[in-house]
Amino acid sequence: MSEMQIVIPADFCFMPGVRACISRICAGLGFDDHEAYQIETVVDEICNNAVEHGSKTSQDIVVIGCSVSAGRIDFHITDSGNKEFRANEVFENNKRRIEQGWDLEEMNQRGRGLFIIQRMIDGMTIEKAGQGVKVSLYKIHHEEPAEMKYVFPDIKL
Amino acid sequence: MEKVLKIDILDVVSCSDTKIIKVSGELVMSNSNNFKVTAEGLVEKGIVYLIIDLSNLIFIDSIGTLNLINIHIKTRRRGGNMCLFGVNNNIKEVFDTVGLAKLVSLYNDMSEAITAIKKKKIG
Repeated sequence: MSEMQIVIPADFCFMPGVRACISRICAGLGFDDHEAYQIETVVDEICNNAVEHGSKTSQDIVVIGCSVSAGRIDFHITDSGNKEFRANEVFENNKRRIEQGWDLEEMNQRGRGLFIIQRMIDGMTIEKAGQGVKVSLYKIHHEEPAEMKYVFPDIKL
Repeated sequence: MEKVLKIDILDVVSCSDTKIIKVSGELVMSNSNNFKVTAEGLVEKGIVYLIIDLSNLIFIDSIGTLNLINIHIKTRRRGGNMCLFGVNNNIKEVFDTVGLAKLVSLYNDMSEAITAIKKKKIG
């Protein structure tokens, strides 16, 4: 197993560099363009959450750990804490909305990043890590695309 | 392909209430407000039919997607509409996942999108 770590200040301006790095790592490991895009997207969403909800100032840091084994890539993204973000609560609320149907007033609400994460990776856990939150996720190389878990109702306007 | 966000606004012949917004590069948390301000500015001026060209968009996150949804809602509330064209498969998957593909019409190219918007005006 190979491991690496990226540490960035809690500032969105560092995210293009992180995405580019993740994308190149995935390509180097044999993930195809679609899988690499999915991994890049998920890491981007979690890091954005870490900066926005898990950090108070750009003096805080976000640590992105990455480990690689045959056909599988794992990420562990840890923020500094200092803010409270109930990710599970947001996810459950939006899951309910999707199952019951969105209306126009709800369509502009946030929290969709969690669904992107769930759709594009194979597993995720969220746990406390000191003052902050640690999100662990993994992606396995799939021969066939994974089945979508949620179906959105038609809301054509 | 260039990753920096670039926004170009193009006219549609003989449609004063319609513009094409060409969005290139990455539409993400750190820059999507630029798109929001530009598109909202057009809607405020009465340009309530927007055709968004995403053929050179290479990455979008949930906030970029949310801004597209918000602009669509603003055009609808003013009696207009918004549609997209040139969406690649990776970005289409994001749109499917967050529900945008069920809300906003997606077309293959500019010609299809303009024709559809003109039909929406009549219908």
